[in-house]
Amino acid sequence: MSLLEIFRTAFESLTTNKLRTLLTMLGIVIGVAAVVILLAMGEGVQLYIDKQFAGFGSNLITITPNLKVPDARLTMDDSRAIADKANVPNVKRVVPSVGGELKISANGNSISRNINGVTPDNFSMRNIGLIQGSSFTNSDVENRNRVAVLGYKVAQDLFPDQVALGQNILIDSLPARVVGVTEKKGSQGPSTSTDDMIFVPITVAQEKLLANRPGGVKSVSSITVEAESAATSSRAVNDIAKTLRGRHNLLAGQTDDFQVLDQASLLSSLSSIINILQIFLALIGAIALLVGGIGIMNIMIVNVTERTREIGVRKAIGADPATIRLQFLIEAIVVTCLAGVLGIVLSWLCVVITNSVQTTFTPVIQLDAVILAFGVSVFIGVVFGLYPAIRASNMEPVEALRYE
Amino acid sequence: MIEILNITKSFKMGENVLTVLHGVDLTIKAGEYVAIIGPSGSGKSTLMNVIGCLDKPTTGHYRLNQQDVSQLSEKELARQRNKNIGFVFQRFNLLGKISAQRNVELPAQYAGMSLSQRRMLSQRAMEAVGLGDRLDHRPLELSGGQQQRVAIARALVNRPNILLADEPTGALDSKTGKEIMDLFESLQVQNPEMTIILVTHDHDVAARAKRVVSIRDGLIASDITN
Repeated sequence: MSLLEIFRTAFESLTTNKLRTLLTMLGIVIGVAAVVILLAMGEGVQLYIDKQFAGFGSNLITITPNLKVPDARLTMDDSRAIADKANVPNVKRVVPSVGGELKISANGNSISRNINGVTPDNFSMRNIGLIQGSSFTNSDVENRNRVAVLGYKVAQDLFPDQVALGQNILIDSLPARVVGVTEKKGSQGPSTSTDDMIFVPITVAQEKLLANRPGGVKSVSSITVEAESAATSSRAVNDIAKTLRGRHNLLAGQTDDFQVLDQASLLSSLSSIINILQIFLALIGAIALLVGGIGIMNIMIVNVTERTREIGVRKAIGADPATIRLQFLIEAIVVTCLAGVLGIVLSWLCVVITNSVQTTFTPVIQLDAVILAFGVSVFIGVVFGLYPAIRASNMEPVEALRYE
Repeated sequence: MIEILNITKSFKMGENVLTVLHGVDLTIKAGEYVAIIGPSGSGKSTLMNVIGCLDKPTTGHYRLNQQDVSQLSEKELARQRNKNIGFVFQRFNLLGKISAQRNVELPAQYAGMSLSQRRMLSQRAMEAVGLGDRLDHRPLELSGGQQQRVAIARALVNRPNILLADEPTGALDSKTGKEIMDLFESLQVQNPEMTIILVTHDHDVAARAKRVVSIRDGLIASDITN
């Protein structure tokens, strides 16, 4: 019998036993879909995090006091020393900041928001554009002018139906004038969005608004440094540490009383967490696939037992062992391939539906996951189809015919 | 054309060896109409399996159409069955999920015939057994007698020279059984070269054959030609 005829017989057997065929396929469909969907989710999480970080640049370095060291503090002089190219050659911009949550009222509305005392470089360094007015200036910082730049949402909350620019607001009990409103940024990953912040000259925050903070009037909460490039960022981290240790008179062996955190290392540690997550997801998928494979094997073996008489009849009327073997093997391969394709279609549908109902998180189907899942399902089909096929072909026709 | 020379058949049953045929000699010429009878356990089914190339003898020789088939491989035996022998079983043994015509086609398919050729042959065989209007019925939609006719059509489709029937009327009522026997005989009238071998324990069925071979305890007890 030609291969084409054997294929025809295998198809006939599959289509005339639809329920059996469907049950056989179910395990593989679910297994393949699970692998592809889980890996697509993992990729979606990875992309989401990358996107969040891309928003604030990977060459930013944040310095904060080390809370484990008593009386640790950073000052404006530390900030100036870091900005000095003699100390840190790869520095581009430095922004010291003082932050805290305060009550803001205006226009009959009263809300509690993050106040950020910064220098004007803050806006250019973090790519914060302004939709109204302009940033405060260095002379505003020097003269302790009571001016503020409102975050996009803060402006909306305080002045829902008026132009915020030029309005007077009360921060805690200090009157200030709105000189600018930032553009809308949306969610920005782990840190508070600039949409929800208020920016004031750092001197105003230090001396008037947040004067009673633990470090004293001259201290700053953090210093943000922009390195010239992502490549020089780690060198800048070392230079900053050396400068600060010198300035704080730390002896060799003494712990840093400050912490330096660069985005690049934060990103890489997050990435390794995501990698573990992806391996974990793939493992779950692999288990699903294995369970599906065992299901196929069981049904195939039950199949041979159930079809013993059929095998006997086919042999009696002239089917040789090789033909029987090939028919069973082709049945197994066709079922698993079909199930593999259905599983891929199912996972694709799931991803499309996920992406159409929400946009924050975008699962992406991975080609290698598709190839892997499909390859494994075909492999299972061949391996688990081979054993019953051999068993069927080795059956004595006389005994097979006698089987009840 | 069937020459059986001193054939024995033994089965291993764990430690013991059970010998079912103790040296049988039997010659059946082309076109004969033979009944093999004997009580159950006599070895008649084993003899039928050997004649039908479903099983190999332990010792002795079996020549089918001048060819020694006693020690052929599985594959070659399958070819002999396909080409030379048409089986009719007591319980029909049709495949339940495919149409009657597809059942009849199967031996032709295993013989390597093209789709159109086997369609034609299977239709002709179905017409020969009087079921030309039941081609697309599934076996379970047919009566017992009709199912046995489909099985006979399947046995005939490759124009074998031996029709081997194992208790062909055993699952049928006597009227239908008689019709089936009439059909066998009319088929032989149309094709006098075809040998019919009936295996049965029913003496009324056996009485219709021209030659009756009776088997007892693995040996031929009598061989009577009427």
